[in-house]
Amino acid sequence: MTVLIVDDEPDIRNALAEFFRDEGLVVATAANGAEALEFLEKAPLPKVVILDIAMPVLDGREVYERMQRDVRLATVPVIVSTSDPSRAPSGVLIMRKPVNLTRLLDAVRQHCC
Amino acid sequence: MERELRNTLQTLRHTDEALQQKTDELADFLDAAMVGLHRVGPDGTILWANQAELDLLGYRLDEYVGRPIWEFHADRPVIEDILTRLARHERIEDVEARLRARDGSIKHVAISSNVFIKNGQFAYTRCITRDITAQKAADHARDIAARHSQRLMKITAAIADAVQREEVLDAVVNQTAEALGASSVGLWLVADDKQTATLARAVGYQEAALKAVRVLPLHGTPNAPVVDAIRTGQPIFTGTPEALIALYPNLAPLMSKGRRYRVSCLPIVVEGRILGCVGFTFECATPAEADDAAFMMLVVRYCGQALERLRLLDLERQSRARSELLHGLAAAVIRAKSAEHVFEAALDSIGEALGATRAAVLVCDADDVMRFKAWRGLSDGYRKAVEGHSPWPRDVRDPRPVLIPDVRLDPGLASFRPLIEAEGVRALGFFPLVSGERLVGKFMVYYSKPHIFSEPDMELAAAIANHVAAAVCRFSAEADLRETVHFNEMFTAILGHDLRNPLAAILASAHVAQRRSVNGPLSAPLERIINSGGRMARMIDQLLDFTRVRLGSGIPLSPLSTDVLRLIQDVIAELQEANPHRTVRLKHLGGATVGVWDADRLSQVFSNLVANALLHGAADAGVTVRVDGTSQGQLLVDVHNMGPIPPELLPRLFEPMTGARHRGESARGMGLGLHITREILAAHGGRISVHSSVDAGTTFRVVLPGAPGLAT
Repeated sequence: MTVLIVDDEPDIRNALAEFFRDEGLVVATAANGAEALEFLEKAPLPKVVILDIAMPVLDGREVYERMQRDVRLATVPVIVSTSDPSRAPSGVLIMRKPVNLTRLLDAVRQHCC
Repeated sequence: MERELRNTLQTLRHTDEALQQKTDELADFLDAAMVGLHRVGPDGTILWANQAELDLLGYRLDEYVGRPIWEFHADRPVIEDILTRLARHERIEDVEARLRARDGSIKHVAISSNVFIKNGQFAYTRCITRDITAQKAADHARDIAARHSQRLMKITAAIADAVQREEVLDAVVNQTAEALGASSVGLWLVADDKQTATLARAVGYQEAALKAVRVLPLHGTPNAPVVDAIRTGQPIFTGTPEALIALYPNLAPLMSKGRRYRVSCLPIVVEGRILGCVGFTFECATPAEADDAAFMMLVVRYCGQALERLRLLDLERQSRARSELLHGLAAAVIRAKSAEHVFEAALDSIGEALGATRAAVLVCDADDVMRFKAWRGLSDGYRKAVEGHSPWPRDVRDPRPVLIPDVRLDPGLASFRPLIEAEGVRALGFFPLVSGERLVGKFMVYYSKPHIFSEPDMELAAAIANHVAAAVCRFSAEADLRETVHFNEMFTAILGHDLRNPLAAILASAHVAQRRSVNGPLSAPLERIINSGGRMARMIDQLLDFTRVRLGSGIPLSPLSTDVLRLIQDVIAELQEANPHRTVRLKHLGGATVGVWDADRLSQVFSNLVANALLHGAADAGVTVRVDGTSQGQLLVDVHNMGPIPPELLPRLFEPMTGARHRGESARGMGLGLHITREILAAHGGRISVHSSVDAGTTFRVVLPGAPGLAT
């Protein structure tokens, strides 16, 4: 029942984490793409990943592409949360920052329930 | 008997005396008659001639009578024909013949004759010889005069009809020489600089003479009648070589000894201006006939008028050509998409206008150094060597053209002369490109021979320079503007992206806080933060979308299977929550509403349209949204309210910044919503339209094209 939030902005990461925890979900966070992949390799797979695109170390696009190349990770749903949708990968649900939390919660619940 | 005989004898004597008197009188009458009379025997011998006949030809009686008649005829066939006809006893009347007089001259006569027949035999002819020499001379003179007159008319008509300079010269020189029998005729025209007269057309001159007279200096020595006629504007006639030498001793060595001729030089004068001179030479020492002189003067006068007419025509043609050339350049400048296009068009115009095959356009760079921008016929080495050179100081105001008609004569270019001459340039012109008195560049023209720049050329060059300078400034300003706009748009886009993250943190945190204190003391302020944050987010979205459209990259889409009906339901629910006292009705008219579209973007579209309808519609009339999936291959969505849009606003309703801000009302947004809505739909291949009236209210119609998943 874990939601993995990947965003380099700590305020956004923490606010979203609090929001989902308040909604009763288990939340894990990563400050960049590299941390996210490390989490995905070691921990049990989350139900959904909320992925920022523009991040240091490893950007969200690269994370998504590596997940798609990995049979195990490719099954994990991804919701892109970005300020620049033009840089998001295609075929994925994209929510533009600032994200409408009600819609985001609906989308997350579709995958978590 | 004897008495009767005596009486008879007396009577006979009287009769005989009377007869003799009559015979003497007749002989005297014939001999002294005013018309020539003669008799010719059957063998052609002259038997008798009267004094008038002898006087006509100048012979004595013994030199004429007894001689064969044909010896005195200049034309043997004529007298043979006369004699043959007389031998047939024919009567001839006024047959013209030419007789040789004793002094060798020819007398024209008209002969009438018949034959005296005695006992059936040809006894002699009775001939009357009438002198018609004077009449023939008069006829001849009349014929000559008529032919002369015809030639003159032909020449003057040819001059009058001439539409080319060569036609005038041909009529004045070649045809006049033939008409007047001149051995040579030459026509000189004064050069523009008034320093020389150049032979434009000549006939009958020896090659050596042509060389000597081709270009005549009009000032200084040696002198010549052509030069004098041009200098004084007065005609010069010399009847003999001696008279010519007396006036122009310097010509003596050039004259052939023993040659007799006369010279006439007539200046070509039009309205007091001397255009040139026509010189005639006649190969005889007889003085010029008055008619010929009058004719020459008339021809030269017509010549002047024709040359002036052609000059004016030429000026008009040149003026028209220049006007067309400038018009063409102006059109090219307007059409030009870059300064380079203008430079190429300018080089074409310069070449055509100034007759220069080599030219260049240079423009001042940021450091005010002239740099070659376009050129023709210049080597790389030459350009490299002269680039940066300018005849004007950098801070010059209102610079004037600098013309070098002959590089070799210009001391100012001494240091560049070897370079310029090595490039094969002999004359050049610098024409400044000026904008607001400021030097922005120059164009150059180069000639391989010395070149005089005429006033019209200068005017045309100045006009071309103005066009080029204006274009240079226009493209420079456009480039600056584009750079500024691009910078601004990039700045806006970057700023927009950077604003999103903190705003996202603010809104997410506010949401969390609000959910944790429902109905608590912070609920209302948190609501305001969320609402204002939402507005700010939408404004940033619009600003970024608008920037994207302006940058030409369009609205990016992430199409996924989307149910528009459900999407609109969500939009309405959200807006309804924010406007609890307003009514928004949704009507589904049937048909499928699912397609592959960008759900987020379509939410933006319908949210904008319904929010606008709520904002501008009548408070009690509500808003109706109709979704119609029954049309073939397309989905229609109408958003209707009862608030009319001012008619003057309708044509530009979808243009940016047209809404409340444009009308001077307080604005909740930036006036970009409908513009971006249109762009989002265009990115989907759809469209939006609006119909509005006071009675029917306002309906926005969205048309989304068919896509996989949409029932057709």
